Amino acid sequence: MRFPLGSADDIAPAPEPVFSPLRVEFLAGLSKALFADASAKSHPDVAAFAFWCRRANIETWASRHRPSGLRIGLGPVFHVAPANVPINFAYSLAFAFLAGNTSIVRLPSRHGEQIDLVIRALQEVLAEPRFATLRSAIHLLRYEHDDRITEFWLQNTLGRIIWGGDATVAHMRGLRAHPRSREIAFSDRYSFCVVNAAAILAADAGALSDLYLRFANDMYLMDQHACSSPHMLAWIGEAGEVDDARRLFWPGFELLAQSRYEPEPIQVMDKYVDTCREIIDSPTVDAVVLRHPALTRIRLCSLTNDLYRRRGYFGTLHELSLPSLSNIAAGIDPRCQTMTYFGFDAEELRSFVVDQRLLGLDRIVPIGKAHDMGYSWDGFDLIGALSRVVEIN
Amino acid sequence: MSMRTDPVGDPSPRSLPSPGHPYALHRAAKQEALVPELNRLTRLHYAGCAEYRRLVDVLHGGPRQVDRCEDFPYLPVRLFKHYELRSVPEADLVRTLSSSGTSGQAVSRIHLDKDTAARQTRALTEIAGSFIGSRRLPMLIVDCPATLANRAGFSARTAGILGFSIFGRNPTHALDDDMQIDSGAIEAFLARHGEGPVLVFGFTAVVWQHFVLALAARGASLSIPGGILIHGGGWKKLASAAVSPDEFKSRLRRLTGIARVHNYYGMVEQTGSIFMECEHGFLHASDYSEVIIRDPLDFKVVAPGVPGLIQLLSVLPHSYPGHSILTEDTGTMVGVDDCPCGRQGARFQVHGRLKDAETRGCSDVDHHPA
Repeated sequence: MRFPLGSADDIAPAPEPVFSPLRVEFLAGLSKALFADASAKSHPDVAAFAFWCRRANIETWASRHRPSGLRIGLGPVFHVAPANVPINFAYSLAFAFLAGNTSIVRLPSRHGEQIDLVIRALQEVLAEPRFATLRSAIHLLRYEHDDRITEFWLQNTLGRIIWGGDATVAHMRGLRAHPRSREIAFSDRYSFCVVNAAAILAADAGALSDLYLRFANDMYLMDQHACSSPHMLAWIGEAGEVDDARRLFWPGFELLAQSRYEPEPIQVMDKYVDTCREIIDSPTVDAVVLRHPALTRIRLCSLTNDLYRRRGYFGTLHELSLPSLSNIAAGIDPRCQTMTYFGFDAEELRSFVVDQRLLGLDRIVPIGKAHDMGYSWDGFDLIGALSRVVEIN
Repeated sequence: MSMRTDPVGDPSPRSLPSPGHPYALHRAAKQEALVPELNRLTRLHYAGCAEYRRLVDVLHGGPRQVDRCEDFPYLPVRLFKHYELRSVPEADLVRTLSSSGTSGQAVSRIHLDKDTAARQTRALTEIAGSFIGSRRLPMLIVDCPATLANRAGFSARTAGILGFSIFGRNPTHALDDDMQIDSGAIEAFLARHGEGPVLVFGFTAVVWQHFVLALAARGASLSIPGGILIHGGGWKKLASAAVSPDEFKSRLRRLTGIARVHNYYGMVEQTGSIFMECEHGFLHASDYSEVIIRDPLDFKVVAPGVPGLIQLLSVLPHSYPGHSILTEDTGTMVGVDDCPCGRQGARFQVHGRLKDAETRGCSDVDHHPA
């Protein structure tokens, strides 16, 4: 067991009230330190995290969500960080930190430059004398897979944040935890995109090229390996409208995609093999459009009840045409997380969720914001879930 | 025309090379011979294999008669690990070849009927025979007896040894079942046959690690001046230990006296129509096969001299849709009909697997069946 930051001898279990001013100050300092690091600029995910924990953002939340009564952290919280999206350990840590907890974060074994960058910035800011009391609240560790060590932390903490999907979540639930331990588990999710065909046809050239950029971010930023990466695009509208919208949308997007994204040869082969397998396994596939290595489009002739299995990576997108938004409800199950959209208004989206009584969908955000971390994530109010209400009458 | 409704046609080969000259066809003659046969095979597999039919329909707009080798639909070779692809009834199958995957890896399973198995033997006889002659030579197998004994898992390694055994007599294993040099067996073999021509056969990684390096480690050497080494299978998991062909040959020659060395390149999916290395160090497509190099990103055909993904065509596969496969190996086309060795057809080089591709285990020495 190695501690890239903090140590086992110096873990302060004592919680603090949520949004403590010193902790808000610390995150603002972390944001500054990351922005000042030249190497962080080459990592859009690190830059996005730095932007997320900037002072203005955190202070807005603090004023909006500060409880009228007393809300205090759980105490020590154990995190199992994900390997597929390295920066998420930082969000996990920051949420628990703002909620007033002491964090012990198990980092993924695979070293990433992003993780090292954030550790460096944390060290730098923690070294400032005014943050001396916070040093015992942040501990990052690495160890080879070992259930005895994991169980030790689960039994000695009061909250656990488990990233890593279904298999990790199931495995962790088989281990013993403290009876009061709260769990926040990030299981496998499915995300997709809906586009109003009429809105595409009505959009001017500027709006379209802006949309291309935003959609490219959602698609390519994480090679489609994040839980919020879209795997399917559903066109909503009359069949004729959808055909026209497709003809208008794809050539421009493909041009942009080509200039922005070049997969590795092995990824192109993986994509091709996966596409062949889906063609063979699924009669619902009626065409495949493969004009550029950056984008493989798999056209489905109808919505199936195994929507969450329709995944693709490194620029693989399923396509579907439906007459109205309500038609997609049949494909939505608890696994669905993010629906990015273009051409729908908030009222429409709200009534879609409520009227269809959806079991899934936790995030409905405009195209381009698939990976934006907000105040809540994956359907959880994380500050609320990682703190407890103390009733004083 | 629609091929779906066409009769499948005469299953017997029409345009196979004439005996003894498997490198006789120049570019135009080869297209003329291969294209109709490959069109016939496309039609055959389209009719007989549902998975192949579905892919041709969705990815290639249905079966079409094509005029050039590069226009045939290709199947990514990894699909043979995921599906039991065959184009004939199960009752017609006589043998199943598999790449001996390492633990946890899927294996390719290649289903042969009598006709395909016979074609493989015939092609291998013609191709390899044109290098080593038609006379059976005393054969030293650089492998252990267990590899051959394990007929149940009919691996590429087993298939290679058995396939080449038709050129050999008095087969002798140079390694024992612990993959150690069997000095006694080798000495006895050389005492009897060491003076004349001898066929030495083995897998590249095994020959290097368990024969050349093992001899060097013992400070031992052999004298097999009449030896012809045929080796293939690549480096597999030993890729990090791979040496250049020149180093391989010079070290081998110093330690064993073997001066004639022919590498070959082949896939279990196209057993028989292998690609032999000539005296000038180039791999050659025989009249049974064709090689096409494609850009690894957009799969377009690239010019000679430009490295890319290797696509292989073969007229042998009748019982499974393996007549046109896209491998995960990279190589470069050197030229066509222009090798100083005099053989007609394409000559090319193989560089290795796509980076991070699954390593196939067919000559993986760490997981050798003992």
